[in-house]
Amino acid sequence: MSLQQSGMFFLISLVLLVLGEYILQMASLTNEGPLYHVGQEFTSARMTRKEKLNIEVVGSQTMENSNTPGGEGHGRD
Amino acid sequence: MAVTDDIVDAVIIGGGFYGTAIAIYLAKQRGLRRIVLIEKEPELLKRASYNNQARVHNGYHYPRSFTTAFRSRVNLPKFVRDWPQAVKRDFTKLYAISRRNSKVTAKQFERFCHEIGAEIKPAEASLKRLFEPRLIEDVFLVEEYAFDATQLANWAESEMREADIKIHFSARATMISRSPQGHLTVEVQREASDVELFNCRYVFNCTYSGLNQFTGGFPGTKTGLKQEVTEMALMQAPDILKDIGITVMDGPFFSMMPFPARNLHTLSHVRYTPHFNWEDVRGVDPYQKLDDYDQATRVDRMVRDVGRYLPALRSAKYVDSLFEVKTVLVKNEGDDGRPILFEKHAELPGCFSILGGKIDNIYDVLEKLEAEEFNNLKES
Repeated sequence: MSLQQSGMFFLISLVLLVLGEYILQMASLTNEGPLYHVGQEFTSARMTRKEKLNIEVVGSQTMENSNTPGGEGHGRD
Repeated sequence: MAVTDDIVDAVIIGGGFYGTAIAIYLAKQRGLRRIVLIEKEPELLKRASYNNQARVHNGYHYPRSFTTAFRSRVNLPKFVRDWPQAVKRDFTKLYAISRRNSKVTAKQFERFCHEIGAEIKPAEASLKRLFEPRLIEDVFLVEEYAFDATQLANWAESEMREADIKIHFSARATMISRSPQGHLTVEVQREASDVELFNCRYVFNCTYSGLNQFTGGFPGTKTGLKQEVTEMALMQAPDILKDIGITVMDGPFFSMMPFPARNLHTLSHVRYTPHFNWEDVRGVDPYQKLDDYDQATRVDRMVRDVGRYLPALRSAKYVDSLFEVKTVLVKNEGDDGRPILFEKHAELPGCFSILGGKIDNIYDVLEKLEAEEFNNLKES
């Protein structure tokens, strides 16, 4: 009886060992990559909203290349 | 019909603040020699430049529109520097945030002011006592001024005389078209039903409400405009409010400001100042519409509502009302932003439509014009 129990105990130790190794392996794998990645960028590094003029520019194509940093809704045609 | 054979460099339609400032800029900074200004009224700065709350904005009004707020904040010091004689600064300006139905809280408002760099301080207890604490969350002491349109008109007149800009008063431009020679032609109607044609290189349409009321090749603005008949009540403020300007926002929204041109206070109210509005179309003359309206005052309703927040106002004495057509862009209905409309008409090269909302944002237009090229006729 005790031989059977010790056999079973040995088996479950093996299973736990394999599982433990697997979890450690996975944990170290997931930490290898960069901490985050940039999915989508909505604003640029420059704070353009402080450079804007309070002007709604509407007009022909040439206007869109004008050198002011755009009004709200710049170049709606 | 009189046709002037010679061609002028620029015709400016509209002798309001933007029209005159642009004319003076073109003459002095850009060296255009022959400029003609057409004004419908017998004097300069008589309509929307005069009939408004005379506020030199510093941004506080626009917590929901960063660009309008920030540019006002940047431009106010320039305006004070350039027109010190027209700016009234010797009064206390308070902004109070309503407790109920407000789109900003006192905390948000404070943070917003810091963000645009506008001066803001908590008001002292004696000033706070003017307000009903159940309805007002907090009161702030800010820096905002009033302007005197008559002083600006004096300035414009003397500068234009100096720059030799020809002004045609009581004349109304009715048509902008392209002449076969490739110039622009502006048809101007005088009182005595005689019509004069001006040939020119550039046309600046600075008519504010009348922006789209031209025939000929003028295509009209692509941006939708909303016209609003508004009433500013002129009040004799009680002594306790004499040297104070007050704005309550931002849901219940009313404002009382000194009006230097008449030495009174103006009172505006978000619900009662706009009487009616319509979407701007060519052919519906806004000025005519205003003249046809009976212009019955709503000051009693304004005072009743404002009195709930500011009990001292109940003893103010009503003197007069200023009725005017106010023009805003349809796209700013939601955020209260007041950008300047700057439209260059591809169909009529050399023709610009400019609709200014805030008097101190004139610098933004001038900066924009800086990027455009203007040549005198003789040089080309």
